[in-house]
Amino acid sequence: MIQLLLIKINQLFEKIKSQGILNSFIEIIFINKKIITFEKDLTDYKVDLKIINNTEIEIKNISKVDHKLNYIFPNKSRYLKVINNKENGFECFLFIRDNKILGDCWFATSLDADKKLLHKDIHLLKVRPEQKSAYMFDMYVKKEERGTNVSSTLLKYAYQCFKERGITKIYTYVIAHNTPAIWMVRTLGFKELNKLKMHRFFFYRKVTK
Amino acid sequence: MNNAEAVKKYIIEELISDNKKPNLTNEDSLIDSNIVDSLGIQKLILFIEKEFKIKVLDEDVVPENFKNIDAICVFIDKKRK
Repeated sequence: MIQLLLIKINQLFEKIKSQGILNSFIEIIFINKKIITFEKDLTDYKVDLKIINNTEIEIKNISKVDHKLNYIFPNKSRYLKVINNKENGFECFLFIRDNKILGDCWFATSLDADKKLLHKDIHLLKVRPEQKSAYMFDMYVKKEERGTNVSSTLLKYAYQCFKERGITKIYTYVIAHNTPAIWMVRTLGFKELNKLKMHRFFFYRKVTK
Repeated sequence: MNNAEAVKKYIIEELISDNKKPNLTNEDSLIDSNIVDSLGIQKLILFIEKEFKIKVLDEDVVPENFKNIDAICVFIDKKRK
């Protein structure tokens, strides 16, 4: 709990520094913000991983082993968030160049038939996940790397890894006015599940129809 | 200047980095060639809204409407009706 609070405080200060006070608070205090839930079927998914192997970047799944995080993080809150998510058992893919983390994306996964997809958003978003599925959340790309395909390369790699491990569905949600995110999920072949409204007051979030 | 020419001019001048696609046609995919990426789509939508005085909704942000210049022109005509 203290760690989470520390992350949020760091995030808020970093946001205020880059976006100003008003824009930062608009992101954490709002009502009736339209959100869209999406799912992606991995049954026929196939990506050419040579694209990734032929470049100077590395993509690492840091949840498989006790991976040491000897990388340069974009900022303090991102480092704390990675530590916190990792401790909670979530799975992460890191996009690394010259030992610097340019982006990361998180997944809650359920591989076994009797294992539930454990993430608080699943209940909040009223998603009924299939067995052997993953929930995608908390994606970050360093500001100066946005628009350079970091996110799509990272996600294509992650989906291929999940498919090889038997995961058949990926779920996520996007805020409707976030055009870059909407475009990314739709060009990656996600299908819309539902339109909902999100209300947020600092840490507390509620979702209604 | 017709719609296709205006859209093409904007894409070439604002979204294509050096030598990425020197001879862009109206049928060329803007997605496969990464001309319209996640940031590019935002700029393109702002341009279309201002230039053609239409409102692009979140449900309009689908690959079918922005896959190439021809598709963008069809989308603009549809929204203006």
